[in-house]
Amino acid sequence: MKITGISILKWKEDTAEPVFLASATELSSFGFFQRGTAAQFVKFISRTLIKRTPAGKRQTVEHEGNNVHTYLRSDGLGCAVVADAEYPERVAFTIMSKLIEQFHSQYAQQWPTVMEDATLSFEPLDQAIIEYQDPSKADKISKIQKDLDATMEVMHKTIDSVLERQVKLDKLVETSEDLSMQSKAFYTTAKSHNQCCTIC
Amino acid sequence: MMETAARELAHVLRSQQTTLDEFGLVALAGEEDLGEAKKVFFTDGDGGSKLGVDLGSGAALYRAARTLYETGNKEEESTQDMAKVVLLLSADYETVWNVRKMYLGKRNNVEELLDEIRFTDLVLSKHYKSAPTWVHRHWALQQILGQHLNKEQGHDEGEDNIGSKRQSLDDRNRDERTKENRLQRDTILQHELEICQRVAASYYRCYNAWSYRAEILGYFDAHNSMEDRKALHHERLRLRSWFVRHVSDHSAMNQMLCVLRALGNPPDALEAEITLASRLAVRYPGHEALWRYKRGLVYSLLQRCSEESAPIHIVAHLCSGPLASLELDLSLVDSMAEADLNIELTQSNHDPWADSGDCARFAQILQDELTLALVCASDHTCARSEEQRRCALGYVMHVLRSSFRVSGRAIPSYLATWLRRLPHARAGPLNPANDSLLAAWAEAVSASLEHIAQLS
Repeated sequence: MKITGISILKWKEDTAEPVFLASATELSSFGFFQRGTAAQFVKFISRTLIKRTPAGKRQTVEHEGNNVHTYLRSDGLGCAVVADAEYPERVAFTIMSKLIEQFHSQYAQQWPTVMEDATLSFEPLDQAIIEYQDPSKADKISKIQKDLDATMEVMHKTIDSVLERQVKLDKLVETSEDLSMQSKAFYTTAKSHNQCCTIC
Repeated sequence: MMETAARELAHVLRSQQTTLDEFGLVALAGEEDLGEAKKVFFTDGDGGSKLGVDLGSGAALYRAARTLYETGNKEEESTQDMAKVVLLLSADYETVWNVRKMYLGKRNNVEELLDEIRFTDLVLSKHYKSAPTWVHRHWALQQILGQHLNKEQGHDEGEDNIGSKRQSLDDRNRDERTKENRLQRDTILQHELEICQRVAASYYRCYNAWSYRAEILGYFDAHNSMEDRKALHHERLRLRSWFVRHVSDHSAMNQMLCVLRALGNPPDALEAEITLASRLAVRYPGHEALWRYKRGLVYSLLQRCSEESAPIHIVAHLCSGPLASLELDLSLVDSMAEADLNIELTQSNHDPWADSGDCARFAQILQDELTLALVCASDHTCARSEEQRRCALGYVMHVLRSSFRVSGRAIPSYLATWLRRLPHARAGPLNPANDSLLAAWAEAVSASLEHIAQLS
């Protein structure tokens, strides 16, 4: 069970797309030549799915053996976690709630004014992606929230149901600015060979 | 131009074979971007250990290499170097692997065979599913172990005893060589297990890698060799730490069952694995692989029970004991979820309770397992509680059925009826007062006690 990426984004519909505020990835399990592409896909899928998360809601979308968990607060501060199918969902959301709280207390004045991708320094995020590879480390937080957990509502969607009608993932990949030519080529080749795409 | 690139690549494969450990196809930037001729291949990473080939040039490079290979003399080294380029790009080309087998077989050189294994390490970093590559690797391994490392063991039959002094010197030399060979053999086998681990880390549940890993176990003889037992113990430790981070990896669990079988299915080892699996199943609920794995472990354990009819008596004990009233302590789930996953393993040769086939011990394990499974089935607050309930109830059915099957008896009809009803019972805590399932359980319990009393 592993977390591939955690990102903090802002989505208030005052920009064309959600903007990144901070992010961290853990790519050591990928092959040397796949890491660049994997990082780009994490960015792409986080941005795409935060955009399609209703404000104030939690959502999990399963895609090719990975789960993308997103949480968008009603004030527009959101978090996306890309993890594999084994990583316990509740732990992921608990981590996200905590990180968003901490981020807001550090950058309360700043983040609402960010209009372009930024890389704000946020140490808890860098620590989280290393420490919480083992979900039991996050358990201490979740124990306190155990009562909340049972009532925490998470929408489970597939990638197709989350995208708008007539919009296909392939098209989004093709037009995305987050993906280099190489990554797009890789995605197309992997699809045509019926292999798993690079994230998994 | 591709021919030159192919020759250069063949040269790199030969000269850097000890440093290269990973290969990949990369989409390189076009000519317009670099302002110079596009590179066909390059090395990167620490010490140039990663070999990359341009995705766009791959097909042309392959065709050039293949032409050079087919028009060359297969017995010559330069052609065989070209064969390596062909195989790197198309690992499933079985004919080329087989011609290499003939070539290497004739030369019969241990160093070359070890290099061949290192070469398959490189190929497998990209073509992890390629069956011909795994087969070729196994062939090379068999050549090394079968022909070279076993050659010095045992006495040469044609040797004459010419003087006791010289003979004892020969014996000492032979022992030295045997020891060296032994060390080399152990190192090679460890490397094989580690490579499988590396592939498994990159490519989840790769069937070919795990099958190969299970086959390697066949080279270890736990009954006659202390070192082999130690090696199997290390494999067990590796798999245990793997489970904690990969709870639905059924390939790894299958491998553990193979390791335990190679060790002779000692009951205390089985018990330790059941404990770990149970703790994981509670901490990470709803993963069918873990529950299926527990089924395998329990079945092996029941078979080790020394008395044939013992499982039935175990069920009788359970039915008349705490399970009869099904007063389940639901807090068991919480304490299990926090239980330490680092369970101490003993490596002693003496199995403390295998000899006696200690039935009381078996009974305790079965009771704990059934209790835990029923508690898990009734915990509807955990994550994935539907799957968890389904898996836990299936597990209860399996344990009870196996208890009878192992002693060669059919399941009594009242128990069979109860087992059939289990999966359809309503979800929620098992409450004796208002759950028909429990009422049926109580009936089944009393009927089975009568039945067993009649048997003995």
